Amino acid sequence: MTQDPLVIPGVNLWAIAPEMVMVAGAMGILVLGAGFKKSHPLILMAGALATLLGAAIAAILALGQGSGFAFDGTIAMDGFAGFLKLVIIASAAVSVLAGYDYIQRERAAAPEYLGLLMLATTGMMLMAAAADLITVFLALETFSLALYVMAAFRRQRLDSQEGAFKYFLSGSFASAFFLYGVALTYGGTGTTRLEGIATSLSEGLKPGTEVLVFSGLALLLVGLAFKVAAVPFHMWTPDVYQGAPAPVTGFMAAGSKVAGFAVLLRALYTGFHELVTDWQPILIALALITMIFGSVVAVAQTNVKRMLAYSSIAHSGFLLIGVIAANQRGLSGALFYLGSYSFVIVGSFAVIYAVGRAGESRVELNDYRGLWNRQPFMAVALAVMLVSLAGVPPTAGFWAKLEVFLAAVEAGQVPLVVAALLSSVVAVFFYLRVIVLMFLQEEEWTKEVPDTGATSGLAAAVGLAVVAVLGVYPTPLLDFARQASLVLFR
Amino acid sequence: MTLESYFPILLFAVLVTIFGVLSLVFSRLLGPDNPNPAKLAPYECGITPVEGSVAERLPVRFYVIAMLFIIFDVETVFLYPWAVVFRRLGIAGAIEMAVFVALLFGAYVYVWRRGGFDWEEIETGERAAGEVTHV
Repeated sequence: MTQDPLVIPGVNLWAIAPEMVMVAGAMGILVLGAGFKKSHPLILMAGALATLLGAAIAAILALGQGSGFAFDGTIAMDGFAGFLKLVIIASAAVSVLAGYDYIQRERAAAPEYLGLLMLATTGMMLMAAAADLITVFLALETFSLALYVMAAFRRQRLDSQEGAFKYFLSGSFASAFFLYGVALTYGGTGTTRLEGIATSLSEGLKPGTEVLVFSGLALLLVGLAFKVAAVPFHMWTPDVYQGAPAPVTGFMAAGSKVAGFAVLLRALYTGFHELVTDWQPILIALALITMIFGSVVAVAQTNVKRMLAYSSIAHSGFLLIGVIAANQRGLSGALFYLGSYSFVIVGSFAVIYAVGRAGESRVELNDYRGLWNRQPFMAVALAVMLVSLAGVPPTAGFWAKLEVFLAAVEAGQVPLVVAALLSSVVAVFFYLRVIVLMFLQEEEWTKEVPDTGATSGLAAAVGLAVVAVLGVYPTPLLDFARQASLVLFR
Repeated sequence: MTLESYFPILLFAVLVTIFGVLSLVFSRLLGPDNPNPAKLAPYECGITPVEGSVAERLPVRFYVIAMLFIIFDVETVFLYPWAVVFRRLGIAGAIEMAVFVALLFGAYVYVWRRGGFDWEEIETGERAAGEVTHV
């Protein structure tokens, strides 16, 4: 029985070269870590960093291969994906640094920590490149499953178990919503490719399929809003941020936000662009409650990790403004925002871990009293990063907010920007409160020798450097973001 | 789409709520209430329910076995259709499957070295991620 060979769709491995490097490295570290009992965490960390460097090089080389689609249109290869992949790789690298201290201090399982982190990174990178809703779902599950386990890393602790369990259950719900949205969209447009959806929508919907497309879009938005922690899909955020080890929290905050917004931006700017007048009002409502709720509730927090959780919710609201703008400036602004925010949040959680000490027992606001006297570098780094989160010039956070807000003004969304500015003002209060505690208040308890690990200091230094450099000289990253945003506006 | 076009959704939500409430109320009011031991027993796939408390402890190691089973089960599920069209897929298909099996083999080595196959060692938990697994 002879048959013709099957037609295999065009394969361009450049499109997934960074992901391939990551998977190979992750498997290598897992096997190495499990195979040789004495393999030192330092070797494994070096391996993880080398893999991340390799993935970054692959991503940069892939940028030079031009833009297009690979694997029958399911994976996009363009500046947008390249930019976000590099952001994700960088924040993963900083999390590896911060995580090394965690592994050393708590005797945590190094191969599992690094392996899961790298597999999660792979999923997030695929999110940035996915041009098909099914591929998005696969990538979403890849990084979510790894993060569920990482959230439970301190498994003997009740708050870690609680957070991880809540994350798992509500995350599974969100995935189901997303998948149902994919199914309905397919029913309405006959395809799951974003390009195909765009074509189908621009040709006009057949009567009767309208309801499928709209309910599909709504369910997709629910699934993604959950991942980026937009109100009212934010319930898991504070508990998970509190329960997970601080380096994991930083990675989770940066990575899932980048991945979620990558898909939101690509899907809404390309696939569903035809329906812009329909999704804009939905997102405006989401953005408004997200930033107001996040900023106001953060004021009432006494736990620093929970405070930053609500702050990250508020930042999702600000980022949504960039999505709502639906113009090129909004896209490049959102990209720049994601880039700077990732470094800041990963760096901040590295400081929180260094201050937290054994078992992260010191994460209340009162524990930050007089930090300047105990750990001056950490205090300065955290202060600068909090100022950046607040969006005060001249820091990276200021330029990020400025770009996003200007884009919204260009799009005529002035009331939204006014609301955003007001909630930023509220947010300044709780950021400044921490800074005042660190520098102007005396500590209440006797001095102890700080056991700051070297690598969390390094992670904090990276965050600090990025904030400061981008604050003074944001042009290169802004240009890169602008270039990356061009591809979705052809 | 204007706001009016969402009216059916509102109507549907209201109807669903009313239906749920009415079902509960009427089954309470009208349903006959004559329990007997067989009726009150928990339904368990048609077999006799477990005696005593069902909240007793189960050895957690069973879940490791379940997970391992799924991993290798999925491998087989993928291998069968591949074997059917093996010739037609040509060299590309062989490479793809080699990568897939290599990844699973990595997982296999990991589980083996971590003591996932050792019934006794899981119990004492000496090698299981450096932590004590209480069984």
